[in-house]
Amino acid sequence: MGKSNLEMKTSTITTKNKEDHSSLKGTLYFVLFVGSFILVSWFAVFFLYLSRI
Amino acid sequence: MHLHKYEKIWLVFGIGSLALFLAVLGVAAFAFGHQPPSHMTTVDSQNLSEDPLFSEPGLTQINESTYRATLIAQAFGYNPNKIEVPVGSTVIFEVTSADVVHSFTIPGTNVNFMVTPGHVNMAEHTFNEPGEYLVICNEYCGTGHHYMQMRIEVISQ
Repeated sequence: MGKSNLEMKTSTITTKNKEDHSSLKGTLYFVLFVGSFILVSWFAVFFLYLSRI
Repeated sequence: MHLHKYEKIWLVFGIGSLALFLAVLGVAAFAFGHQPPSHMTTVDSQNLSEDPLFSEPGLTQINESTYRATLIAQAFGYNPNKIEVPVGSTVIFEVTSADVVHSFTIPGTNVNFMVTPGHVNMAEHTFNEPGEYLVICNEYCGTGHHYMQMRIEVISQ
């Protein structure tokens, strides 16, 4: 009877894609996104006001 | 203190935006005279009939193209409820309330302010287009709030 050879499972240690947790790139993009939204809406309201004077 | 390079970027961006907003408002206020639609003149709201300004509300002409509209807002209307000015006129609105907080809003213009009892609430507007302008109250003032309105007739010459 063939004893199933227990194949040694080579457990590949998945080296977790080591993120650099100190990277602030995503934060920077989001801050600039929110900031530009605030800037654009502020000027939109201001020019609406000017157009109605 | 160590600041990340990106932190410096968004601090400059944020503080720069605030400085820009303040600069634009400062130039508009001090160089072009854009004032908020009110000032600090007070009036006795219990005794409007004896007030020199509000005992006879209505329209008075100040000079060739400038008018003063003295109006009393009260539940649920304005007194007077219709004024007529020629096109091109600048109207200085001086409005007070005889009871609760109302508002004085001409849709499509910058005239949109609260009318508080005890205060003379002011705004001015130049009517360059002839037509009938609707004035509405947009501060909920009671069960008849949605009926509260007046008209400004701007007549072409």
